[in-house]
Amino acid sequence: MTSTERQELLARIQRLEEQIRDERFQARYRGVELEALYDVGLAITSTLNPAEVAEQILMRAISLLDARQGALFDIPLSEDDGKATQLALEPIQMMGELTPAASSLSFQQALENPTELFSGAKYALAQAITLDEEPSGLLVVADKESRHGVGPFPDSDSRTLALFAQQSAVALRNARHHRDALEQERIQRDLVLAAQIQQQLLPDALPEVDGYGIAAWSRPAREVGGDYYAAHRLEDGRLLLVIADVAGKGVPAALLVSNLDSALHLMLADSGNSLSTLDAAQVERLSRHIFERSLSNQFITFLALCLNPASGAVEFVNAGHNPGLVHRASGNFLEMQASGPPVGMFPAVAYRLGQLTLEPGDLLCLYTDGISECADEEEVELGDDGLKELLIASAPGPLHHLTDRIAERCLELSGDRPQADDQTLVLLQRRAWPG
Amino acid sequence: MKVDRREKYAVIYTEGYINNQGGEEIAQVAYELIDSQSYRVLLLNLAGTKIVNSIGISILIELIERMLEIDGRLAFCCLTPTIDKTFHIMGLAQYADIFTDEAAAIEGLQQSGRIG
Repeated sequence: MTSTERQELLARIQRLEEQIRDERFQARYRGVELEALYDVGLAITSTLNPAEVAEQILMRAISLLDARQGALFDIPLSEDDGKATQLALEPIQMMGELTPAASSLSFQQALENPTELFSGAKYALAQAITLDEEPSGLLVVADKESRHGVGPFPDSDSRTLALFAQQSAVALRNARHHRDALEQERIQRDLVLAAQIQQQLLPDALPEVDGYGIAAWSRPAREVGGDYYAAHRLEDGRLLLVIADVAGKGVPAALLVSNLDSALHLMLADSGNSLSTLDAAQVERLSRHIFERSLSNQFITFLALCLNPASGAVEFVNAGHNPGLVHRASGNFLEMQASGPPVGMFPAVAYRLGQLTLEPGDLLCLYTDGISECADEEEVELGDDGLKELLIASAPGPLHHLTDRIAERCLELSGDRPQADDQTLVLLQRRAWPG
Repeated sequence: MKVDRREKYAVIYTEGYINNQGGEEIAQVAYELIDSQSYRVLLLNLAGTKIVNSIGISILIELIERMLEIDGRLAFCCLTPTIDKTFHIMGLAQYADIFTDEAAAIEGLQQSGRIG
């Protein structure tokens, strides 16, 4: 073998060694690629942090495809129909520098000309991320590196990117579900807070009035409700009782309850907590106030009464509320009928003051329609008559036993079904014998 | 890129993507330490790096080979789990030491007698 032949042989051996080395490197790198896809799959199922998963996907796509830069875009959902908007791309994760025009590119433009997304990019590869056959994102890598600079991505890279895009779709779906769940959680927290605030609107304790028993009970159908009651001892010793029911349930009703409570407290404060008399004009003023500060379909049924404990004289105004019931000791019932529409329904209304006297042993019951309209599974309601029967059947003793019995009856009727409406009950009884 | 030159070894703190450009910058610093300053043990602290591509790995493999030629040692520390797994699959862990953090690296290199 000549020296030239020997050199050629050595050169061939060296080239073969380099080739083997290169192929071993590539084979090992395929292993890295498989591991990466496996790891991303695991990450998607093991974390609820969408940014973390997006970062994993993008970083691995960039590194495995030897890209110089890349980005994972989300297409925000339209607020109207919940479908992805075609007009805006938002980078969830990115590496490199986006062009100023990137934010104004539509999904289709970015998909067709991905190089326009990155500053200084010569080559780019984009893959749509689809969810339920709708485009929901875009995975883009730019400028494939080699030791000599950058070049285009081969077809095999398109397949790898498509695999990452599929995984991104799962991650984006999870992210959206997670975002929705967080939003629900936030709303739930707000509702719990609202319920606490609303609870504070109701009396902590009912006033004590010699010769009388007072009890009240309220249960909203949802976290917050539209029922309201109040009990105030006025400076001259009289007792003011209020019950109200805002049309509707939930947060809108609760907001109006808050408005009503504020208005009532301001009215009381204006009069120095000593309403000279329960004036129908005050309820008219309240109605105008609510009308001006509520939606056109919102109104409040409202019943207020003022009791002179010494004489048992009661003055009341009923604005579209269920008739308050007075169960006379003699066994008869008297109804406190409405003298006008609910407050807030019309800009100007007139109410009439009603009067009655509570005799010893008489029981007065104020309630909202959530009690009387509480129905069993065959839609048979408790009704005014059912409520009257419960009042008739009440045994002598603490008044809260009767509220408990009525609440129990409502529960029996509704069974396992969700409570249909807010329920509130206020009872006032003049004891048969003072003390 | 920060370099901490100590008596028997130097620590190179990498930053960002170890790709063609990032890898070349590391190699340039490392060869300067080996050739001009006679360092035989180098520790690459990758705390500032989240991503490495195949070009970056090939540059690091060349650096490992260079260290083996001069009977030196290259060590890595503070790798992300992804990079750690990649280095193991690509075989870098066979010829270079990998440590969880810098303190463990120094202790390990001392125990192996590389830095006395």
